Amino acid sequence: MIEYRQVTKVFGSGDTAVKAVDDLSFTIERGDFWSLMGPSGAGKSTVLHLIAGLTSPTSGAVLVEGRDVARMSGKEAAELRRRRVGYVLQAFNLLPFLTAEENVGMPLVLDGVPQREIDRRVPAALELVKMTHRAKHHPTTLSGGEQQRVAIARALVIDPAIVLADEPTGNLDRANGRAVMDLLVDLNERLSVTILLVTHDPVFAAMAKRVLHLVDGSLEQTTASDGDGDALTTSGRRR
Amino acid sequence: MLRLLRLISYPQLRASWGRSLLVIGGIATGVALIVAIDVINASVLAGFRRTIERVAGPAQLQVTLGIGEVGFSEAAADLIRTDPAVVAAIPLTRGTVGLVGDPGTTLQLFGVDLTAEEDLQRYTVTSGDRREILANMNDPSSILVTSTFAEPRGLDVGRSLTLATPTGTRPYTIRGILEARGMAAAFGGLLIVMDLPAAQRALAKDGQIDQIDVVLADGAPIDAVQARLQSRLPTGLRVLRPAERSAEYDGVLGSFQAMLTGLSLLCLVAGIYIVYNTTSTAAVHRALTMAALRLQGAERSQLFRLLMLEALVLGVLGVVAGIPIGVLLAMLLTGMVSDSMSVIFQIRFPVEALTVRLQHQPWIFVVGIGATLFASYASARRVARMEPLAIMRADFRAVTRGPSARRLIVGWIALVAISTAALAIEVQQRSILWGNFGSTLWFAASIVIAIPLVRASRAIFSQILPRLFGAAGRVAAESLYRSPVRTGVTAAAIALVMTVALTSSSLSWSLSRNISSYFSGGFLACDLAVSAVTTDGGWLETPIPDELGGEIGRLEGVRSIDLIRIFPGQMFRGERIAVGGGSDGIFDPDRYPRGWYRSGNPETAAVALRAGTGANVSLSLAERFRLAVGDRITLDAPDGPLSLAITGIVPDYMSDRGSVILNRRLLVEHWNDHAVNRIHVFLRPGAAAEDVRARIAARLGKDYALKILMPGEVVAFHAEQVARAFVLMDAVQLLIVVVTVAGILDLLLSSIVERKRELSLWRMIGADEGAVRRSVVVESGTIGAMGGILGIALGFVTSAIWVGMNFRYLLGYYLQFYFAWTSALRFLVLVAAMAMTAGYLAAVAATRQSILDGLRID
Repeated sequence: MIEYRQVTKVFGSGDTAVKAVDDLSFTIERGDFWSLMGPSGAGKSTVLHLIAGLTSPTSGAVLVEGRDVARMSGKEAAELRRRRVGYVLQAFNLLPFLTAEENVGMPLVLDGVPQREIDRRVPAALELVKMTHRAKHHPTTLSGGEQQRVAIARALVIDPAIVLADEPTGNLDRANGRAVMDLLVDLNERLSVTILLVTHDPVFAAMAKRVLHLVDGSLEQTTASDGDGDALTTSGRRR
Repeated sequence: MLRLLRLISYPQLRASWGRSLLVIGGIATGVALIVAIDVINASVLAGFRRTIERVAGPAQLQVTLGIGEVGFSEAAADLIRTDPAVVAAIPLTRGTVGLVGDPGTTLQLFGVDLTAEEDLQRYTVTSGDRREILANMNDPSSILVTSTFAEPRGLDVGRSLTLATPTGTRPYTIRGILEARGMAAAFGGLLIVMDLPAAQRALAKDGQIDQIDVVLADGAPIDAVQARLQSRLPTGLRVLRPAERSAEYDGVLGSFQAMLTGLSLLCLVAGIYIVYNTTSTAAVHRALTMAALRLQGAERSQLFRLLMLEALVLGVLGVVAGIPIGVLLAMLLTGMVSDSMSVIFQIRFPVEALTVRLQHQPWIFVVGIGATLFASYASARRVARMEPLAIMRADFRAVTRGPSARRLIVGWIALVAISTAALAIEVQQRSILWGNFGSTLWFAASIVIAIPLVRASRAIFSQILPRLFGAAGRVAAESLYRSPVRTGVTAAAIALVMTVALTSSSLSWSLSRNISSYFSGGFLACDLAVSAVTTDGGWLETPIPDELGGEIGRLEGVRSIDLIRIFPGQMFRGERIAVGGGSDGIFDPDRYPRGWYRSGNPETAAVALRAGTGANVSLSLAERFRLAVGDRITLDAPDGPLSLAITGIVPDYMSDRGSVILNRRLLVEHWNDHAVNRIHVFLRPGAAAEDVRARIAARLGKDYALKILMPGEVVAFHAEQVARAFVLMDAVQLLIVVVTVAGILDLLLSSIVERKRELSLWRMIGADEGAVRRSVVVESGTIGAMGGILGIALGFVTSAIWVGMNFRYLLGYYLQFYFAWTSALRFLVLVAAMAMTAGYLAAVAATRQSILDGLRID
């Protein structure tokens, strides 16, 4: 589903060059739920950006469903985000001038999906995140947790193969954070959506099936989890 | 795409309605000006054509000398009547008279052969018996007035009206009221009809007429009769259909109308720039939304199309608003334009109704939409190309980054090169079109060079501002150069306004100074100038009899007099030029300042001019027809061609198309004209001008409506006329300034809004509100100063181009260039104050919010 092959991403050049991702390789299968942990600047978000085609690797290859993202044209990368990859961010979320349902329907509008089809799929996506009752509300009238659930519905409405969640609980309190994580776990289990989560929170990270620990762009440790927050196996790797 | 327009664009455009209005307003202004100028041009021409046709009535042909502004002998009418196809040949003379007791009102006096008019039926008399009225008209004090003139003044048959005519002030009796249609509807009804001989006497045109209206027998072949009459009449007299005469005026007025079109193009450039600025500013504000859409899978081309569609919608709104505003503007400005044209051409341009050329509107629509799309293209492309990751990191450089300095300099050089080439072609081909193109490009080039110049100024202001304003100056300098594009764009907008304003001021100032030197230090200098109070609508006073010169010359304190007569409508090789006649004193070589004669010797010229064998020609005429001293110039006089040797080439402003200066005796001999327009009086040593003025008034004031001006008053009178001629330009440019100032305020306010977070951070680390505001005001003031200095530099070159080149070929006046330095300093202070005020308002808004709110802005 997602394959990283010896991927390196360097920002800047010369003395100011920073390796955000350093010779990273891994493979995520369909229906997996992985989380990425690590200190700030470890390259966690960059791993997601490379998968979504928002930036290109300096070397190596990132394959999504067998296709090298770096070789995709801008149009193909946009299509990938529009049809296969749902993106959930910490704060960069909803368009404030649209209602919850309009926000959710936006990827479909961008994809030229007929309005009748949008009208069918948007309520279903909102239902998945239990936000049907707030469909007509603007983001400013929603709580942080509700906004994030709407953002997840927006990621789901395209019926994605992959959801990339970049610190989706970062701006939420514990209870709301937990609710969002429960939702992601539920989606992974019920719909078999492949999820890659970036988080600083070890408890939420442990809710994934596997936890990757990144330091300075390299994989330091992989932990298999039972999904309930308990580690099953841990393997380390020299950088 | 329409769904995106509804979901994304509409809410955002509505939320930032001020900015949307600015885009619509920018285009609406440009379009409105183009529409207004088009409507004004069409209305003035249509009004003029209508007047000619009304005066012609049912006559199929008209005979005139040139285009009908110079009189000729009435004997020509007898010759025409001998043609078997001619049913009636009706002579007409006309002139301007004043209404005593109402100096603001002038009337057109038409002298007609009322017996012959019976055949033409051009007048409908509404009061009394027509035949009885006509019988009374033999009395030389009888007049007919129009109902339009009579009714508001409560005038009726039998009432007396005192008129100031070229031969004196005298009472006339109203014998009938004309219905306001046909000829009587011309000139807005400000028309008086007299019997021909009486009118000739009143207008000092004994034996002279201005046109002959020819009615042909039913079925007579007009073309054949026209050719036959033309071959029989003396050279210079022309036989034309009324429509052909109006078409000739279309050509005469063409250059002025092209100048107005050039002005409207400048306004369109200003409109494009405003749209460019506004969409560029909006791009930063909308970057987050666009990045969000890119994250959700929006394609670059999709966003680009969306933004261009938005521009299209705003453009359509702008054009739709601009067209009716343009018509409204035309309603307000037409009077102003016809007044300006009267000053320049010395002809009345009565406009009764607006003429909207519907066939032009689709083109204007396309130009307006095209301008919006062109102006929006760059920012739409930038937004579509931005990297969403950069925006997520609050890195707006991709959106705010303009083209590199090198590219801008190369672009500027290219624009200046094309502009120079266009101006060179303008000079070579005397082409107004190339002049408009060249000056518009130069105007646009001035915007392009602003950003590199701002970058280059970093070394200066980074040193000066901290020294002058301490920490606030340091922060201001850092902010100015962190975004040189933003600073440059704002400074360019200010420079643009300054350039427009200074060009207008310098043009008007140059004309004033040139004319001043003509009347105060030049050969037309005198101690007193005597002329009629009334004018034909322009600056040239209506004629007075030359005998007045003799009477004035005999008054105590008067040493000598000069007589001046000007024909503003003489045709020469298809151009409408002026012929000026002066008495011998005018040609005194000592009166001409050194260098006045651009070619020729004042001494030898004086001999030939006084002998009536030579003529001086204006610089403009010499250049237009490639004339040189020693060549001969042939004028169509009523008694046949008059050939004179060119003795000198001199500056002259009698006519936009050029002028010929000769001895007035020739006008008496060959044009049979005994009138003068001005009498210049020279005093004996020790005589007081005020005393002599009082003597002239006492001697002639009772019989003539005269104005007697001192030299300073003559200059002031002409300066007033120049102001009248330029009032439209000033009005149009005021409009450009107002719209562009709105754009500048938006730019300054936006630049501060973008920096709210930074300003909050500064406050968080201890800066008080006063320091923040000071820094912003220093920054805005510096931008204002940069724009002002740039504007003065660009304004200097642009006005030099307009005065030295464009004005020559647009209007024909050859002027020495004088830059309006006083205006430049005034504008500099004004823009600095405006920029600082805008900065202060923005800073107050930015510091009013809490520090925490400011920090959360991203």
